[in-house]
Amino acid sequence: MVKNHQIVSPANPDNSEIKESGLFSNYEIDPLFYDEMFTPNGEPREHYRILWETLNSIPFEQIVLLQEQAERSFLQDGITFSVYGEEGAQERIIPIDFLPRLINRSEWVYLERGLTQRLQALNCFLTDIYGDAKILTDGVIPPDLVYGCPHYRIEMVGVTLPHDVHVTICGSDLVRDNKGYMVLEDNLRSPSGVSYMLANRQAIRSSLRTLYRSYSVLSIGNYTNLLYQSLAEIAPTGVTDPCIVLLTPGVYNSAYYEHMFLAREMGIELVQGNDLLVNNGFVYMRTTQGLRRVDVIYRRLDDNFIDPLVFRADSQLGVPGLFHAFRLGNVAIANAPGTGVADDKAVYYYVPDMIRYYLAEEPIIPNVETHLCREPEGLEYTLDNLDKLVVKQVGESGGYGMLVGPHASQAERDDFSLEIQAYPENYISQPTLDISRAPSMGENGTIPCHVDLRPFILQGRETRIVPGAFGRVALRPGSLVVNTSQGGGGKDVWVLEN
Amino acid sequence: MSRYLERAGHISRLLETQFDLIHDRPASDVELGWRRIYRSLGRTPAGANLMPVQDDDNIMLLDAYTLVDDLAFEPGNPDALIDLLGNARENARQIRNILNHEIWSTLNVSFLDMKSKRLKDIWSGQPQEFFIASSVAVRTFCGIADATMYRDHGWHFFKLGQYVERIQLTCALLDAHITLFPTNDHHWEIHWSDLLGVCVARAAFRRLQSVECQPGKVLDFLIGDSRLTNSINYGLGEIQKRLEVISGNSDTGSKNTAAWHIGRTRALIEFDWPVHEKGNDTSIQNLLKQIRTDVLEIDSQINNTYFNYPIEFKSG
Repeated sequence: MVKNHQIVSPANPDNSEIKESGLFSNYEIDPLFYDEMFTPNGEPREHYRILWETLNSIPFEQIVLLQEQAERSFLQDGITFSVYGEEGAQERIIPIDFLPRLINRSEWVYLERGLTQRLQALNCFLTDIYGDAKILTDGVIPPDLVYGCPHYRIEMVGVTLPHDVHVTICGSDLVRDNKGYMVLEDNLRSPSGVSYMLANRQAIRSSLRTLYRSYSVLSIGNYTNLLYQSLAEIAPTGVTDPCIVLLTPGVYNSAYYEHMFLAREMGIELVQGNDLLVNNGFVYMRTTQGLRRVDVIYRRLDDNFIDPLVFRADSQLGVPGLFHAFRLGNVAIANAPGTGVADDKAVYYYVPDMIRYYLAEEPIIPNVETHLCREPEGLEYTLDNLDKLVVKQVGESGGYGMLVGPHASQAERDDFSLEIQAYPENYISQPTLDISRAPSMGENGTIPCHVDLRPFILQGRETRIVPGAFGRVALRPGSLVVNTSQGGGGKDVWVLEN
Repeated sequence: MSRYLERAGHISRLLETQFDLIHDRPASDVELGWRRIYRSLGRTPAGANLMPVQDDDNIMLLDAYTLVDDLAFEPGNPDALIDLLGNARENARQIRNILNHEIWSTLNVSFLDMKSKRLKDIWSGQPQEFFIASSVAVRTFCGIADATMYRDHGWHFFKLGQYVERIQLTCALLDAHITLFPTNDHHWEIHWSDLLGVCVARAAFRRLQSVECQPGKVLDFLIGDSRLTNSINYGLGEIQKRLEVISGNSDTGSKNTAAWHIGRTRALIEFDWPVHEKGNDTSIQNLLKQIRTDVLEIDSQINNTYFNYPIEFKSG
């Protein structure tokens, strides 16, 4: 639906006295979308003013060179992913947008509170459903939604964990529209992207050194220390100096760079399944000096692959007997198996209810309006408004298995409609969001692109959040999809002290 | 990783030397140079004509293009420089969590640089410079590793791999060289000088031995010298030192097997070398083969002892 609105260019804000390099001269502000940098009348927002003035004072050619420098640093550092096509595997860098997104301190405090609240409720939910399941017997969440979820692990029933922490590392995706922030989804299995948050910061900080100094940007450099601390705190009872390892599927996994990066920064061993073995209920790691007992495993494998004796029998990536050792309490696994049930797209609908139920609080950051197709009214609404909605498949992630109604053809919508009617429980729908936009580098200047945020929340004995996030940007013009696998890129996020 | 890099450095030097031959020597010498390279690598170039070409330098130059391409960029050749650097990079990626940024980026940038080139692009300029640069890149990498890597087991295994490969390559090169240039024939002196060049030993040899490259003395130097970093004796000594550090004071079980092998192999040089009968090239080549076999056995023992060792749990 096209609304009547006025498009404004910040090249001619009413009282601009700054001589421009042309970087923003073709940038268009559409009041339909909240613009992170500009007010609806084309003025730079107060906290963006220094950035606007500084970049306007740099010749455009030099800005292009700085963008290239940032990209080159990614290539040299091997921050790449493989694309498999007709000519075999091609290495590409994760696209990086040179212009940072700025967030006010007060805004960040609000987000921190909301994210902390949310993760606490999600951990309570997981402890509950694998324990007494009171939230289900009290009728807050339909039991079949939980028990029918493919990520629910019956093997986890009765397992108690140190500090009741099921989710040690959470990556929640946040978006903003003209009304404010919303949580789009929670990633509770193996959320990725934190290494790009840190790499983006390093690249942009060295490209925009003077600008970075002009702002008091809160540091994210201690993320890996906090991660290590959180992992150490979930070690089995009685272990004071735990041996922590990162379990990776291997060098061909698309997130391998991140696995390597985190292991290196935490000073822990990066292992694959065949480096570990289980004996008498304890997990050991092969080293060149013999076997060493392992206390905490930060796994970057899906539940299905961690132990072929319990989950997928054909898994070559996991460790036979690992789940037995975990159940005995002899090794901690982060995140614990079975956390995926809480980031299921249908369960997401009930997260605000979880917050009210477990914490007796109102949600600080709201969900995106969601319709469950498993409910008759949700199905009817979805089918009637397919051209206005985004329909998502419950078990999918990464931008796959979804229909963006307004951008789809009638034939695509008809096909999807048949699928939804055949398997309504597999789908949810959400309105097409007017996700906020921020200036990103285009070929001839800046262009407005939709952006989101993935902050990382850590839970050990306490909740920890570094002031920053993996900022993502939909670099394809007009696209709402920010996933790197679908044409998205990274954008540094600066949380400002003042 | 270190084995791939050692091999890449070796092949770069072979090609660098071969370009000297192409520029300055008659076609027959160039042809013998190619034979030495391919024989030492145990490879026959697919579709390449290695028959002697006596009179037509142009034809030889065309052949050179094919052969250089084979050794530098041929996708199916596991000894091609691009493959060796690519494999070294893949290995480095697997252990990147213990490598520092400088080490990784040196290797990564060298690989990306080589991958972006094709022989037809460098052939029109100074192709020799390309191989000098790749040889320098490998040495730079090793230098950075030497200056920055923490001296734990990872470092000692890195050096072990480097010297195991170096000894293998040097033995194979000497074996191929002796076959083509018998030691009792002094017409080949210039080729013995080339051999010293490939082994980065020419300057030291001249300073310590002679400007004349007598085959026996060259072999003495490349096999038995204990201070020449590319000699076989030096390499065996380094392997022995690394093994002592890795195994600590332990002298039991399989850890001792590798140490026993290295001691025996060093004794071959300490006591059986030089082979005194003049012109007895067969006994020299047998010695080289024995060293290669022993070093392979040592490599296998290291693998069985420190990586693929059997797991035994005591019951109860």
